[in-house]
Amino acid sequence: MTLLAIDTSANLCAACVWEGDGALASVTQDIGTGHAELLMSMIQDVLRQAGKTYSDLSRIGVVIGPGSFTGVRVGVSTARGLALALNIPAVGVTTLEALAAEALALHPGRSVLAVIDARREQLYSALYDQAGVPLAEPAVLDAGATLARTGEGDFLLTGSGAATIAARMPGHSIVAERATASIETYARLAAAKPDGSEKPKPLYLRGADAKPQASFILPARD
Amino acid sequence: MMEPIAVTIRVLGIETSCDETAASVVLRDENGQGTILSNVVLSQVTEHAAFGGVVPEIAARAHVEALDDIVAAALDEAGLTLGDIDAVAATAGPGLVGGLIVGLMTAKALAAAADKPLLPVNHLEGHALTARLTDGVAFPYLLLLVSGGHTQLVLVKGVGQYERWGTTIDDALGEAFDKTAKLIGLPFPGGPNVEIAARDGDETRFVFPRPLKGEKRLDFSFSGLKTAVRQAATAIAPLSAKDRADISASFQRAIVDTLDDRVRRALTRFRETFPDAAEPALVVAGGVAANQAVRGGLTALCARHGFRFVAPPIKLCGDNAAMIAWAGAERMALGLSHEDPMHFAPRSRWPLDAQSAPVVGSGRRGAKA
Repeated sequence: MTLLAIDTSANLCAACVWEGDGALASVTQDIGTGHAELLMSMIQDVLRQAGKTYSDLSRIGVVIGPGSFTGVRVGVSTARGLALALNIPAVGVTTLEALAAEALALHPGRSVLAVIDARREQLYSALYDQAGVPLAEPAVLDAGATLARTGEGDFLLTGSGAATIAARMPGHSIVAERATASIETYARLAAAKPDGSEKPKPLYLRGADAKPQASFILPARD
Repeated sequence: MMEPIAVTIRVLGIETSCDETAASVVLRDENGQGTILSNVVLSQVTEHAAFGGVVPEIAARAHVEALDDIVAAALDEAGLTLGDIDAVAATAGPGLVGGLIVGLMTAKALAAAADKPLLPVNHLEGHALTARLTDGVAFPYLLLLVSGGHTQLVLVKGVGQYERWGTTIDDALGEAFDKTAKLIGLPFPGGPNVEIAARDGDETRFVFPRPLKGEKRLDFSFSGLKTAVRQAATAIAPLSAKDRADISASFQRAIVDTLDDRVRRALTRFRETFPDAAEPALVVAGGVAANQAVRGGLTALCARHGFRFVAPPIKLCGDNAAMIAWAGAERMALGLSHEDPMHFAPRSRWPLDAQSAPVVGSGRRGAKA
C-alpha cells in the first residue's frame, strides 16, 4: 500500500507518503491558519520527495478531528476529492487516537487520556487502554466532567489540554502537550485501518451552535 | 479583446457558496455555444428551515458530507469520467467561506489528481454570463443581478470586464423578500412564499414606499420598505390569510415599481453609452429572477424601450454549478486564468467590478457591495 496522509486539523499543515511500514517522505509546517492555500503544494512536494505521483497512491489518510472545524473540512474535502478522482479509499484518523498512540509508543503497558483544548473552557478527550482501544469514546466536556468520566485510574496524560487535567488531578504525568500528533503517526494508523471503512467525516463533537431564530414574527389569526 | 480558442471544451463546475451543493458538466463548442450535459443541485432548505435563514456552520457541514457524491452524479449524468473533462471550475467567492472552502478544496484535489487546470470562478460572474450559455447573448449587455445577497446593475462588456452602475445601499432584494416573509409568518425560503401569497392579494390595499424612485443615481435601497411593511403589518396584527396575501401583493407591487424606475434609468444610460447597439439586451439573473411578477414588470419595461429581455430558465436563476462551469469555460477559451490557482484562497467578498468605490460595509475583507 502507498498512502498519502494529510493533517490540517490544528496549527500544523502536514503531508506524508507512507509505503509498507515506513514513511518515504513527510513535510510539516507550523502555519496556524491558511491550510486551504498551502495544502496542495505541500502534497505536490511530498509526492516529489517520495518519488511518487498521484496515480501511485492506493489510499488517502486524513485527520478528521476533533480540532478546528474549518481546518478539518479543508482536509476531509481534499481527501474525498482525491479519493474520488483516483478511485481509491480515504480513511479518517482522529487527533485523540493518534496522540494516544504516540504516548503508548513511548510508555508501553500504560493507559492514556488524550485531551485537547476545545476552548470555551471545554476539553475534547478520550481514554485508551494499553492496546490503544478506547475505554471512553471521544467527547467534549468541561474539566470536571472529563475527570468524572475517567475516574481515578492510573493513566498518562497527553495533548494540549493535559495541563488543565494535571492541575486538577496531580500525580498523572504528561507525555506531550500538542493539539495534533506527528504526520507519520497519522500515516501509520491510517495504513492499519481495515478496508471498507466508511468515508471520512469530520468529528466535530459539538453542534453547529445555531439557535432557532426568535426574530419578530407577527401573530396570526388563522 | 482576445479571440477565443476554437475547440470544444468540457468543464466540471462546483458551487458551494451558500446553501446549495451543486455540480455540473458544461460543454462549450468551437463556436462558443454552450450545452449543459448535467446539472445536479442538492438544496439544504430543510436543514436551515428551523432557523429562518441560512446558518453558515450548518451549510459548511452539509457541503462536506455531500459534495463528492454530487460531483460523481454530475459526471455520471453527463456520461463522462474525470479524464474526459478539460478543466475543473469552482466558486471561490463571494459567499460563506466555510462552504467555499469545501468546494474549492474538492476542486483543487480533483484537478491535481486528474492533472487538469483549476479555474477559480467568481459566483457573480457565473450569474452574469448565464445568459450567454442559455441564449447566446452578445457583449455588451446590461445585467440586473437580484438575489439574496446582491442587488446590482452591471454593464457586462466582456468576460472579466464588468462595470457596476448601481448597487443596494442596504438590504439585498432577496433579503427584503425573506424578511417580509418572516415578519408575516410565511415559511422559509421567504421569496417564493411571498410570491405565492401575493397571487390572491390586493396589491392596492397598502401603499408602500418606492425607495430612491426618481433619483438619478442607479442604486437601490430596501430597508425603508421593510420598515414600512413592518409598521403596516403591526398595525393590523393578528394577521389573517387575507392580510398576509394583501401585504405580500402590495410589497411585491412596490418592488416591481421600484425596479421599473431604477432599471429604466439604466436602460437609458445603456442607450446613451452604446447608441449603435442593434439589439440592446437586459439580462436578469439571481434567485429573485424566478419571481414572475418581477419578470413580468421587466418584460413590459424592455418592450417599451426596445430592449431584448433575457431571463434564464427558473432552475438556472438560483445558485447552480452549470453557471460556474460555463464561466470557467468562457475564461478558459480566452486563456484567462488566475495566477497559481492551487494557492487560491476562498474570498468571502469579491466584487465583480474591482474599480467601483464600495457603497456599504467595506473592511479588511473588501467591499460588501
